[in-house]
Amino acid sequence: MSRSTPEAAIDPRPLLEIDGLRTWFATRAGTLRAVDGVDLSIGRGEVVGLVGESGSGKSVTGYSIMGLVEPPGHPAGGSIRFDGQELVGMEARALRALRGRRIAMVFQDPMLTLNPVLRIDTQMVEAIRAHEPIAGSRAFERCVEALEAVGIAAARQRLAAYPHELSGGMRQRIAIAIALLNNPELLIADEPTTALDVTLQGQILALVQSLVRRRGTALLWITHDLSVVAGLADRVCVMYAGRIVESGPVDAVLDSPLHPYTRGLIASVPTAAGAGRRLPQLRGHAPTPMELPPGCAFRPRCDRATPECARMPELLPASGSDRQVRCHHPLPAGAPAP
Amino acid sequence: MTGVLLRRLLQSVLVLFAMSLLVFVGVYAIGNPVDILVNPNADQQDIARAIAELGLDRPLHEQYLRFLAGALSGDLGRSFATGAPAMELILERMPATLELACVSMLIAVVLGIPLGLLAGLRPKSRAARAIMAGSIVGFSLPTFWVGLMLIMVFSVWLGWLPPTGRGDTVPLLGIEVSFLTPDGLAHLALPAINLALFNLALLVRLVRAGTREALAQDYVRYARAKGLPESRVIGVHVLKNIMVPVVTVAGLELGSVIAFAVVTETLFAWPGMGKLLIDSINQLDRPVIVAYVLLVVLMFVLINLAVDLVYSLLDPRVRRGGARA
Repeated sequence: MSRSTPEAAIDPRPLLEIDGLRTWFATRAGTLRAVDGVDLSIGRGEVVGLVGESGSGKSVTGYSIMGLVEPPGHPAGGSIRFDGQELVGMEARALRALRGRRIAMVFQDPMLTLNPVLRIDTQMVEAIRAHEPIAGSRAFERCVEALEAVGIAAARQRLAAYPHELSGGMRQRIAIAIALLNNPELLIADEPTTALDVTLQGQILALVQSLVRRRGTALLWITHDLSVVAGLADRVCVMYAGRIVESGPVDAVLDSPLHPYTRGLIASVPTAAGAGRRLPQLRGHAPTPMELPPGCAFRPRCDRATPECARMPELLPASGSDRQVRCHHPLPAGAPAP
Repeated sequence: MTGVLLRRLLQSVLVLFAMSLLVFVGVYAIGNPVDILVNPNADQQDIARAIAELGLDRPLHEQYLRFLAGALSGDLGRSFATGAPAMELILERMPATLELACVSMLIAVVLGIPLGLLAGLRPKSRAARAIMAGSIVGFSLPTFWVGLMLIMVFSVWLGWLPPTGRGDTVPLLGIEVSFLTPDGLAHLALPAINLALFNLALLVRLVRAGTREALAQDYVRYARAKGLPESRVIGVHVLKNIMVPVVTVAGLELGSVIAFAVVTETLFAWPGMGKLLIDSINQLDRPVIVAYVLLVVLMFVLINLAVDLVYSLLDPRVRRGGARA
């Protein structure tokens, strides 16, 4: 399912490089290390899936890139370089100029992301005019085109509507149209299909996929759903307890996972072949970021754990240069997925 | 919309009717105004004549029906004490009260919204803590005491502002107002501040709570994700969402400030309706009391209606009866 993208071939430098990113939340009960050393890179026009359970820190990673982490959350280290520019500690004004223009984001719940008391045209035109001093009428025409591009019929009427007059699927299409208004180089999608019903999920997925492919936009798709990533992404990063535990080309990772956690995730996806059998599930439950065990966070749930695992493993290249795994006892490469 | 308006008007008429009945019976039960009005030296004949003149010799229901018939033709009766039409007495005093109430609400809104926003945006800052502490004080201190302190400090000790009266007035559209003359403004300052304090505290808390709630919403984060300047995120996305409760409370409070400025008006000898009401109650001047209450009810009904109309301007979900919200 991997595809070659022309942009990546022309400019091999990654568009986004995250190194050792830490985003912590100072709470009364102590420091919550939501993101604790994430390494991730996205090439130009590349589609990367960021997969993890709830609480694994995948959404906070997305917000960190956008500089939208709110107190008590704060950057606690690491670097995010976008097109060579360091985003961590960047001046608020410069970051704002980047947001919505070169990096855009779509959120999970379309019922909550549009402001209920403002008309759609207001919310779209302001997104353009925050970055470009163009006339309202020209901005409006661009909004019409943007809505048509996401498959909304009668775009002009929709622009005069308020969010509550539109369905959930339509609102998410609008949110996507807004995110792509200024032709960003990177789109971060934080589970944008989770709140929609199944038939709509597929439509939205296909829509985003075709839009980013056509425009050469890089996409970071954050999800808990491996099956979504399988058909969408070039590469997948699996996140556990604030860290990336495995990354690589999506087919390779899904066909022969190296990290025991990844294998567990894949095994717990229902398949037609396994119908009637009891679905395997991961033993125990995800640790809260407040009480992580020292060393590998997956150790208490892992069948392959040894005393060595009390020491934190590094994220190291494995099984060819394009795969990485953070495990002392990775599964043998080439072993079939369960 | 017209349907809603019609229904509201019908409701208002019913409320007015019920209120008139209640007040009429209530004042009747308190005592006999003749005892107060008639010269203590008057003989039995004089008293009987006075009672007949005022129509107090009829049974209560007849008195009420007669009042109702008069009211429907726009006549709310004459004051027992002065003989002047009750409505005229009230309307004469109304501009002073309206001016005081409007100026005090203006102070509360103009200061309350920015202070509340500030307290909501930076809840841990010193300014926010000071504002919230101040709002608790504004909430809990009784109006009459604050009024006395204002007079003591600004009139007695500092001698900056006059303590009583309305000062010079000039006509504005046929109504005498104080706020356009320097002397009138000086007279207006203390009572207006006194009256504004409670509502200022109320609005600060309301706006702060609304701001904190709105800031936690996804749409604010999304607005920031679009790269909007913070001034637009706060000034448009947050502010427009918190205006609905603010308008409700400000509207209702304007009504109650107009109707119940009694304490402040008495304290500062402000010649408004509140003072008239107190005087009328002391004299059991039933027509004036009834007319006053009916006027206040009418005002509340109208303000409520206005608030509802403003709602639909502010919140599109209200516009179609919230059917699809």
